[in-house]
Amino acid sequence: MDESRPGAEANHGYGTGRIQRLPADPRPRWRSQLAALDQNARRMHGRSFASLSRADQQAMLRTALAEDRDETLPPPLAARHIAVAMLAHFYDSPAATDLCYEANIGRQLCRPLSAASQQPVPLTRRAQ
Amino acid sequence: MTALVRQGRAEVIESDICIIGSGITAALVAEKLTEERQARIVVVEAGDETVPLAERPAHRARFVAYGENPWGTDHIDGMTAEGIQSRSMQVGGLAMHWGGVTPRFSPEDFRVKSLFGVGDDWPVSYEELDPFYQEVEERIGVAGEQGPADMDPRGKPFPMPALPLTYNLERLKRWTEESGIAMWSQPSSKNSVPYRGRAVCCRNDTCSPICPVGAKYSPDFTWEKLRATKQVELLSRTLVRRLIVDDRSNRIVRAEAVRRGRGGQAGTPVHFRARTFVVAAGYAWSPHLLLLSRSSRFPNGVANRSGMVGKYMTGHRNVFAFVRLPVRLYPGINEQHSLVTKQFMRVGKTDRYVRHDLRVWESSVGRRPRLRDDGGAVLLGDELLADWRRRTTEGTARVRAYYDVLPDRESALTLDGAATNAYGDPRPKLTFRDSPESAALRGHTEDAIKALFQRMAKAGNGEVIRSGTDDFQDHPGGGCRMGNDPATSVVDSFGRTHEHENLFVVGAPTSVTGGCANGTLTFLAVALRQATAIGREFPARRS
Repeated sequence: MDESRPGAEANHGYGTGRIQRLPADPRPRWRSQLAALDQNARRMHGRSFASLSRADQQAMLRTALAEDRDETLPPPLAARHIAVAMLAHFYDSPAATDLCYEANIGRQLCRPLSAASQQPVPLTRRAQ
Repeated sequence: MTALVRQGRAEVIESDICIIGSGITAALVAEKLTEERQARIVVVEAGDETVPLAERPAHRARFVAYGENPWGTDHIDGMTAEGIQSRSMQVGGLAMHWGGVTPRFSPEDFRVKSLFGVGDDWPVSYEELDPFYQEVEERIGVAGEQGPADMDPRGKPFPMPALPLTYNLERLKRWTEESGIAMWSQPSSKNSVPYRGRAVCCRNDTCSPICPVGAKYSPDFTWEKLRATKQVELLSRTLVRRLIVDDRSNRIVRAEAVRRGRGGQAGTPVHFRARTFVVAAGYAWSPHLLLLSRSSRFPNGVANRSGMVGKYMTGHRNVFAFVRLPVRLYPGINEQHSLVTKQFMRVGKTDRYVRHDLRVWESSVGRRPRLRDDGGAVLLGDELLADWRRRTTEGTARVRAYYDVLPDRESALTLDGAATNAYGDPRPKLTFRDSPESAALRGHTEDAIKALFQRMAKAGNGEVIRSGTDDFQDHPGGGCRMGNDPATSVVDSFGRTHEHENLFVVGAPTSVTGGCANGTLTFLAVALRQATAIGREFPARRS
């Protein structure tokens, strides 16, 4: 994330000559959202957000995301809320795809061409 | 190698053959000319140098992580056009980030007028082009599987074995067979084995826009070889603005260009003198240059006495669908590879004209992780993963059919009187238009393709989740179309303009129609046939 270049030229869309740019730097907004989560945690529970139980953290996040009506996960840099950005970052990863399918697919990783015809090998319990 | 003199303010560069543009057509034509002829060749490219292979893994990583354009300065500010489909302008051209998909046209694509009474025939046949198709496939390296001979005729085997069908595509192939459709591995310019010093495909899934290992052909590989052996001189950042015709004949005597300045500095003029000029600047910038080259003797531009320059811009449209199938697939095994068939490229004697290809890919549409469930509740943590797993027990197939659009005469590139580039030249403006007969067939064609998708879904006990039509015309070409009649074409079948004996146009602009498949392999085959004619006036190279 620290190596991102806000406003850099985005990959060209297919079939268009329009040059698109990456979103403006979301980090100031995300920092204020983290601060707001922490302030609310202290106000409601008397403790920092990080020290809350998972259930309490998720309840606060659901409240914070109530206004965000997106159904799909956006590209991380385009996420309006830091929580959505983190979800999007993880769930866009090859590791997350493997976790979902419980198989070693290795999407977007360099893999032997000869193995393409084989059904992806199941993840070991340990790897999951 | 080339002579350089100074004349007034302008630098003058002399050569035997001046090629304008450095995209995929220019690369292959230059390579063939250097093999067959003794000639000094200069290549002029408006854009910058491209990203070297060694730097591509890092550029790809930033594309994957952040969505950045992995090609750096691959276009020129202000060099754009209304209706243009890509801004790519760099050494290697658009094929630096092409998908590497290389089907041949079908024999019928070249004879739609003769066979079906629509559109126009090409002045070359599939049979004449077969050896040149083979030559392209060998030069760039195409991995392919021979389809059924009656649908997919070819004189020799592919130079490389096909890319293997993935586990997903094998399952999908069984489905299409249940639908009565014979499909096979899509020919691709991606290495299935090491080829001419380039690596094997490693399925990194980002062929388009960027292959990090060089398994996909791109024109920079050819330029690197030709430049290293000093067989061509390639000047980047040099924009050709005009072709100048001799006062006493119709020969082109020079190309006037400007070396682009840096940091907003004005460019310096440079003139290219040559015995032969080859315009290889793609479907937009080739006709644009001819139109810009107007003078008192040629008020409509060069090679344009017939008014055909910029006309009959071609392409094809596609109808697509996503089909839910009761089959477990694993998206991401090699997601840009597909199945293809040419089964629908023929028209029965009593049928109304509908011709299209058909491709099938694995897809993750409808199977991606999501933030909210069907009831609108936010999904977090294990809930999100459980929801995702629940929705991936079945698979999705992406199906797509390109159908040919017969171009209208006024499907045209013109000079835009309202917009100029940094040098004061009018920009091109592109308006694609179906011919009346093609427009009348559009609804019938799209309905027929959608009905096919429904039949396929039913055969697999699935359903069409979503379907639609992309409204733009893909794989554009035309604007300098070839033909035997100077009244209805710009160049002959060897790329020579009807009016200027030493001016050739090669590549996509010479296409007569867009066919039902990506046109790259076809216009390259035509260009290699043309290269022999271009070189004919120069001494043969002794082997």
